[in-house]
Amino acid sequence: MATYLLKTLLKALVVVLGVSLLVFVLTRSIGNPVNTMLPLGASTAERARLTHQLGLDKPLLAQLGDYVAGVAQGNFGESWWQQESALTVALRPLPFTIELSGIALVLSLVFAIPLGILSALKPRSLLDKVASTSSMLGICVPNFWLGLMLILIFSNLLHWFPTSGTGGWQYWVLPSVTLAVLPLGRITQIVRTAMLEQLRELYIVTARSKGLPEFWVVTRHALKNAGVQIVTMSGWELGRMIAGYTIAIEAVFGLPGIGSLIVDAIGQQDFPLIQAITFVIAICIVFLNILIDLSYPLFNPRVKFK
Amino acid sequence: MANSTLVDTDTPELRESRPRFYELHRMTSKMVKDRLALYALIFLMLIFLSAILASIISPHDPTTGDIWNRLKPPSFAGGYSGHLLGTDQLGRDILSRLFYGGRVSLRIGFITVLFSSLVGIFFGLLAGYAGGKTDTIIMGLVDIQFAFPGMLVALVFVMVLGPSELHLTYALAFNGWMVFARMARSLVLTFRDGPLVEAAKAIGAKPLQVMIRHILPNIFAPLVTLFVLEVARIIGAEAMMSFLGYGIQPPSSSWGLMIGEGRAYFPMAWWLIVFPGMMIASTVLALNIFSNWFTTAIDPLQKGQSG
Amino acid sequence: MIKAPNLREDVSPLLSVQDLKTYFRKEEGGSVKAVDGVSLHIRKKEILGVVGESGSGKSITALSILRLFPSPPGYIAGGDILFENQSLLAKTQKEMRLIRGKDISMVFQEPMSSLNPAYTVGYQIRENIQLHQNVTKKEALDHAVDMLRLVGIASPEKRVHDYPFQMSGGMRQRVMVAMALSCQPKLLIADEPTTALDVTIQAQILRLILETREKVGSAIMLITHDLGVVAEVCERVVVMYSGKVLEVAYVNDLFNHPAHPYTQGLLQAIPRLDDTRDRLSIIPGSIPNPANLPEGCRFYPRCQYAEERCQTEQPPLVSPKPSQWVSCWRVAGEKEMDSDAIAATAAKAPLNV
Repeated sequence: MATYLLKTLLKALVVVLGVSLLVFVLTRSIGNPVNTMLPLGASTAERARLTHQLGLDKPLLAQLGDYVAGVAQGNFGESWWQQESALTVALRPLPFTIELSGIALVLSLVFAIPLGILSALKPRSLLDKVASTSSMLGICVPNFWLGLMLILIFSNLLHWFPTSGTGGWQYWVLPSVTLAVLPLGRITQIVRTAMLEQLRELYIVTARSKGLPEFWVVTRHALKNAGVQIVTMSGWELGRMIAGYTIAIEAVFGLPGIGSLIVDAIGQQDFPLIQAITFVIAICIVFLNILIDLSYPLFNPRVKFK
Repeated sequence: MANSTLVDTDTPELRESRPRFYELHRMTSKMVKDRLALYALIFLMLIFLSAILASIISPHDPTTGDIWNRLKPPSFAGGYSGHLLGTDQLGRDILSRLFYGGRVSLRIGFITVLFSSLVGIFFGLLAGYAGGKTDTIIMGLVDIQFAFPGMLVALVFVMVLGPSELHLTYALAFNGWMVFARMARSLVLTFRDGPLVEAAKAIGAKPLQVMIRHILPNIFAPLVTLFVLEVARIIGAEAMMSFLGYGIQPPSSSWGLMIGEGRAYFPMAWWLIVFPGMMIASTVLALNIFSNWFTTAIDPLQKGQSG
Repeated sequence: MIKAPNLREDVSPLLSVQDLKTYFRKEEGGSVKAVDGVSLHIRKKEILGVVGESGSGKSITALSILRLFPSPPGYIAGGDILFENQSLLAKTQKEMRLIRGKDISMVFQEPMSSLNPAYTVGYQIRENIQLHQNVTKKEALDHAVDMLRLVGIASPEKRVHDYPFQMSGGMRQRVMVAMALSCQPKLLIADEPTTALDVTIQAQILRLILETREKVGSAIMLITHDLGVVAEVCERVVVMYSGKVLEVAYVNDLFNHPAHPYTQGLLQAIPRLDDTRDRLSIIPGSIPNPANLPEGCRFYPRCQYAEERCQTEQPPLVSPKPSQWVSCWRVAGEKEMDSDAIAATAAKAPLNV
């Protein structure tokens, strides 16, 4: 277990460093943010002072050294735009996005697992075809557009839910449904394929030969073995949501999550903030992967951590 | 990525459990009957034609607005009859903009994937064929990039380079090469120790020769399938980037940008976003159906497995 | 050599399969006739061998008895299966479930994949016991430990918490046997239980099945392609080929006086100590594709005695002498049976061996 943790953390470090380095090099390589930070009429002296103040006049390697030294102390510098610790700014909207993504994942699992199982039990049935077709449609439709369509229908036309912003449960419905469509389609298909694989296994015949009810055979015997694949896919989707899909969804619904912050930070060319966000997201994903790893023994007793 | 930290990762269950990035592709196999593939192909051809012939078939100039006729609904929805799909906030003809926007969206899709596939295939072949440290480093890079969501990196990329079509292409290609590398590598590994390459080596072919003459042709079909799927994915990604304002810039237009621009007006002018969105969705869908048909059509082994 | 005593203590059949037809619907239309008019029966506590090559329909016959063949595409196209004089085919799914694992249980060929990798062997045995007997979890587990002890697993109270992957193939097959016998079934169907195992383990498992049968009192339907196994443990044998029964006989009769050319060919393919031949004879050709069956006798394309009649008409099961039934025109022809007589015999065959 200790070896496993060490290895995992080492790999995690590589990922976090790799991504941070990438973003660092990208942000520093071209473009001077000073231009956007100062009013149009700023003098050359003012620009030079700000450039110096931000440390942008140092050589790239020196900037990198400063950056790494800072990060090692948990200090990403001050957000140029918000004038406070970049890490604090980056962490503030994180719970909201995790909550939204979590709701969307639960929502998609609630539908995906039964749908996938039923499709696998009766392949090529009407239900299977409907499920396959709709999950495919769900994946092909751009989700930001789907969000706008839902607003058009359920907010503007039917007035069931608010168009944007935060508040009571009504505010969560449209964003989480929009966000859930893509994982719903993909997880349904994973459940279906995994269950089809498992239902072909001989141990399923054994379970039936014992006289177990079909529901029991499917849920206890087949589903448990399909669990590894389902959990892996769900975890992966959650990761994609937190740092990918929410960018557009939060923009569409005007939500104060990390996705909106990313867009703002990039719009403001706020380098420290961008780096802090990247770091936070990388940590989230690494953490998520560890959680997925740790869940494997629940489904597959052969997995041992070393 | 963190999966590989387990000791017992090589059980079939775990190997199988890694996310299937192209699940969609398997999915199509279930619903595809050849008739569907045919419709998809016809649709794609129409889209391509309309993109190529945009300047000829467009009823209006896509960039010149008629300010007195702004936000007119489509003619079938009781709008001004001169504009089949209505006009946008500047009075520009939506249909013409769809044709021109499709040109941009498709161009970006194809050129991006051309970039990413060339780079990816090169590194994949290199990793698979060279093995050892080269393999470890390349695949390590692939793993890192896979672990991290590409959209953020693409946004930073465009922010740094400045938004333009070419820079968008770079940014998206930077996020797309890994799949090709992974696939090319795995296929090489399958073929490298197979009888085919063994035979080629036996008659004295050089490594590079083996790679180009003997391995590449064998992995052609799966790569084409992946190519089409990637084009579909990139069209979606481009739409999202443009929607957020970090992709195509006005006065040029793409389907995603049309949605982004129309957003401010859409509660009252739904046609501004409904039509471009439908174009994106149906093109992506058609590409997926087509790629699936291509796989089953070219590989008889796959045919038996589908469905 | 373990032979079951009390051969004729009770002659009423425990299970009787009558003219069973299990077909598989093909996607492009038509059916594959996996089991095509099979009749056989098993008496209480009897050991019946069912011999045949792969593709002969023996496994599908076994799965049909428990109604566990994949359906769709499989379906019963005709015939009946009587267990203690009740039709299994007429039972509802729920009634069937009460029989499975309790009255009739099954051991499969592949011990490596017939146990669920995600549960301990104790759980999997316990599941069977708790389902059919009104016991607590603790009692069921104790029973599972007893069963493991019965099948010769050392320190069963520990091994009961093992997962299948922690056991060898032979051990897993023991677990399967323990599970199958845990509710004292009246009939145990063993589908090639030793094929996937090492030769030494094979003998152990066979002996185990026979010994535990002595203690539990089950009848056994032993499906195998190994005539040596049949000679060692069975009382009667059913020879199957391409979904049909070709010959039914007592083991001694079958080995000494095989009546069907196929059986003769099979026996000649067994090496013997007194053999002076340089090479073993083999039956030329292979089992017909079930999707494209010969019109007449299923064996005629490979039969050295094939006549014109064999090509067009299927031979009925007839009895050249008491306790032996054969489906071959050479035997049926000798008897000069008219078609009515053939039909009459076929209808009651081979219940009264």
